[in-house]
Amino acid sequence: MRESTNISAAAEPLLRVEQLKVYFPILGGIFRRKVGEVKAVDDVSFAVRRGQTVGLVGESGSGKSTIGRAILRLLEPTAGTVYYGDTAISKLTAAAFRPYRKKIQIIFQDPYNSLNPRLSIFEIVGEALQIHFPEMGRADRRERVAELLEKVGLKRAHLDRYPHEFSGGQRQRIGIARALAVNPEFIVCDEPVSALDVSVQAQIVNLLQDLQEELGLTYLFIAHDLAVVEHISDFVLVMNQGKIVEAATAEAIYENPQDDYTKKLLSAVPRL
Amino acid sequence: MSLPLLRVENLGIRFGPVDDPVKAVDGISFAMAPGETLAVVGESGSGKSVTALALTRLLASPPARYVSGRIEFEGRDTLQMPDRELQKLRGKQIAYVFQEPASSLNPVFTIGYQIGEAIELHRPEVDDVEKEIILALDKVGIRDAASRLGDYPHQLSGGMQQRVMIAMALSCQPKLLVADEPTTALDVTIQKQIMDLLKDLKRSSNMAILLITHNFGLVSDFADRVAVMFRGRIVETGPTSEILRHPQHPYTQALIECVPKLGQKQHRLRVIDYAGID
Repeated sequence: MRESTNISAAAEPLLRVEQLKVYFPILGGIFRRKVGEVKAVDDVSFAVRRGQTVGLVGESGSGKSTIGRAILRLLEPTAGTVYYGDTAISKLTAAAFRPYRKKIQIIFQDPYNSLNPRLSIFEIVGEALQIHFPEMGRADRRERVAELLEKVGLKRAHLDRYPHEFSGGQRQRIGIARALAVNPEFIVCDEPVSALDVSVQAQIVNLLQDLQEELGLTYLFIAHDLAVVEHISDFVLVMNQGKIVEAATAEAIYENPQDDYTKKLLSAVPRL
Repeated sequence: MSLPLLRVENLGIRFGPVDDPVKAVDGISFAMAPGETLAVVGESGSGKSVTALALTRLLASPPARYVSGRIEFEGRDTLQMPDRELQKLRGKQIAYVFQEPASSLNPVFTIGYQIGEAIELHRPEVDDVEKEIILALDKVGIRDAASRLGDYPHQLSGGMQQRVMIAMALSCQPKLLVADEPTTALDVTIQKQIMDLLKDLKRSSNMAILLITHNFGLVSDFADRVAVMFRGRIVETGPTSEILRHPQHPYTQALIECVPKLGQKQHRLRVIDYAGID
């Protein structure tokens, strides 16, 4: 098994989500008044230990991406708290939250839409360095980006190329390099392999696992494919309609699923 | 094997400069019997979609160059067929379902209109077009079809949109359905629904299905035969169970093994070692 995940059970969680609710208003009528709400995330609690991978699985619309976004404060929760270590990061002011933007990063699903087509790879990956390490000179920044590219299996020569010159799998590697640029501890992987061919999917999953071992990263891995989630995760949360319907170790989810929805998801995975 | 419905022989399709071409399809041959399901499995860029599009010359030339071979559908070569003839084949005899239902459907027309258009064009003998549309939607499991005719594509989920695409394809009772990655854009649970639907349709009609996919997981209980494509060539072909159990080509083996399997947690997933192939 992976060394980095053998953390004693007593280890404090790195990230804790408590009674998180994210509701979106439904506006109607000519005055766009609120006529109802969508409970995208409805009272969800879980914890992720340092060095662990927690898989979050569910269908489109189950609320799994919304949780990822709420953790990063890309959207405001309606209620509930997100703790990072002992700090309630969901309650911090924007300025006080800024240091945490370095510690928590995200990798998006669609490598075609998540990279700005007008920026070179150096600019895309280096942008976060410019913001979070303003003292770093351009030459140092280029060196750091080049190292990152090599770390994710790309080449130094790719620095000045543009996103359209890369395949889907390579673009996802660029997205991973960008997330790694600021030395994060926690990465929300939001369907990082769903848009990829199975052969490329295997490469990216292996890369994420290698990086976790090497850098001691902690992942929240969001996906709709239970086979992938089972493979990469230590612990799995199954989501349906905004609620967590089952939470168990990856092995237990497969061997002894309790919830009907989990069983349905399991039966949908194609068998060879 | 009975007389083939489709016979592709030594098909070669190239792109790019004549002196340094990209051989997208490099001399492939295969045949399909009426009612047979064949899965063409390969990665992005292996030439599988180019092959699918070439069957009815949907690939414009230029930029594509059909450099060799024949594509015989019921004995007639579609590569030599005049455009007018080909137009009658497309949709009517050979129908397509593509990967992205949202971009295949026209956003400004209702689904009823779009299915009706296909029926009016290819089956002028039909009197009650609306009844046929409802029948087609019914067949793909859209409940209360009559009330959905006026829906626009954006009002439907991805899975429902793909059902509409399949309904449209089936409304002309084609002899061959080409499904090019029909579930790649969909969730696993919806993927299962669509694959189950295709399975039912296969059983209830004598339609041949050419399934194009990158995922070996999809073919096991669907296709009669599998052809594995790699860099424009078919590297291995045979009955599905045979290929899955005893893959001969190293590429086929790698492609099967890189799919994560439930309940068999490995330390690492197998990746394809391209240097070791060919």
